[in-house]
Amino acid sequence: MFQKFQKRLDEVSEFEREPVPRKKQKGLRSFLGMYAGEHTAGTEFVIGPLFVVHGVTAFDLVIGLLIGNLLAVLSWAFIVAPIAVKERITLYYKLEKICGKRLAGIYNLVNALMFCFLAGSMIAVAATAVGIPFGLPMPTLNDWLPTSIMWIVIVFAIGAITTLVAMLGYEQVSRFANIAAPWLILVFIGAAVAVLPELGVNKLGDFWPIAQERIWTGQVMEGQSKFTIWHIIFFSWFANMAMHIGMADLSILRYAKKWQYGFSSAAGMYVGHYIAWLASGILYAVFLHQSQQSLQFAPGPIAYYAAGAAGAICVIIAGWTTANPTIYRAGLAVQSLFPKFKTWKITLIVGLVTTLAACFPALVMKLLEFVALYGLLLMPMGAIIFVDFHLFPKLRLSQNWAERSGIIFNRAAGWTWLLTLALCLAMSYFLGWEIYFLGLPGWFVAVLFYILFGTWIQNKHKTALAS
Amino acid sequence: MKNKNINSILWLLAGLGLLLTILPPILVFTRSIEFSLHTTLMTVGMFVWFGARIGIQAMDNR
Repeated sequence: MFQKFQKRLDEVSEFEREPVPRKKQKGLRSFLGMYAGEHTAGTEFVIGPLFVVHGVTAFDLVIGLLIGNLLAVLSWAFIVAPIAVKERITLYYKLEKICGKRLAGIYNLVNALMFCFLAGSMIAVAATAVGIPFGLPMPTLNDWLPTSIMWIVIVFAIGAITTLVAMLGYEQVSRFANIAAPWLILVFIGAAVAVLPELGVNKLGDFWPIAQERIWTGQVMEGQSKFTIWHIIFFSWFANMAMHIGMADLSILRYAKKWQYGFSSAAGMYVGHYIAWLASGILYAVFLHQSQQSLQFAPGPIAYYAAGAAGAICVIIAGWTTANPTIYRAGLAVQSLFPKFKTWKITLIVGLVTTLAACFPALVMKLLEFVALYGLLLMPMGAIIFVDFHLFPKLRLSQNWAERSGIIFNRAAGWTWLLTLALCLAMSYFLGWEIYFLGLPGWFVAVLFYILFGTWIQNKHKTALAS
Repeated sequence: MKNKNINSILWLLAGLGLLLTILPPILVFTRSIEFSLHTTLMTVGMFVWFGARIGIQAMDNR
């Protein structure tokens, strides 16, 4: 079976080191389906409730998500898509051309680690649903460490299955995820609609007053920070910062026939990051109402209460189908660093790291901070690509500097990445800015740094050649 | 021709599965059915949707 799978993998050409040819380009429908499916994941069951925990008001959430998601769609459409359809190469290949093989390798390692943690949070979410029939004691908002032996056993069981499938049957899972997507979205919506009467919503007109009084009340839960409309705007804009401003979706949108297909990300933003976040917030509000503000935080039982077995299975499928490709992608990213190792061995190690991370409920309880950190860490590389593509020709500087000068580590890019993150850390430490707000100033800082360092390095190189 | 008919039936079933997923919550909201019936129907809808869609996939692969 493994040999058959490996043969099939060998036959697949993803144009890793060449532009996607015209005949392989895809239509708008593929992108609409892909974005809607990818952004209706297990983590949506966590993010919506965490907004409630952070005491956001109904107005701030509804308007904040509208604006933040719009900014995210515009970032996909105007920042990533034009470069993707012009170059039609993967992010990794583009980074190799600009930053050199070694720096691109470091990027891959950081990216893989982030993928592991992200997949870990999805496994933990799935564990809360799998644990229902076993009477698993569910973690609370203040739990950072594994809560019981049974929690670890269930997480390891899910982690083992997910890793095994990522090693052998990624394609099947991808197909299954596509099949599940429309159903998942309807379960999110249906579960929320069904429990609305328990909050006192008996007709549509009741919704807004009840939303303000009983769902998104503005009351912060114990030990949590207060979220305003600015938190919501910036969080929803930067929740996928690595993908748009960080340029990871160059690899996806290079298949688009036109740059305008970047707007198809709206399907993911307004279905997954709008409707699903609102729906999961409603479900959590019902749980809080019934449990008299319990600190327990477990999406599985909440979904089970609202939609029965379908709800619990929805949590498992949403977590599993997203964790699986994430582990697979992390494996590929690490494999590029160790090309002599077999992919399945790398995936096995990545799966083990992911499963170990999933044992810690902190990954779920601090998901908002983690998502923001993930985008922030990778954002400077997106800024570097942006400068290289749009600004270097105008400044009469060479594009794809590593490729042109034959270096394996572009110091200008390396310093840009490091100093941008150091400055973001300083802004957080000295100015007290929260992590959600660092991405925007950080991007401008990275742009400025790369222009300065790029000009310096290239001029130095030219002077050395002339002398 | 026979395959085409089976395919159409499977798509009809898939649609029914989705209908069984979204309609019961609306009926609970309008207080037309009991909550327990809604969870049962959603579970049935889940089996019908996945059964039909996996069937369609298998036919497409063939």
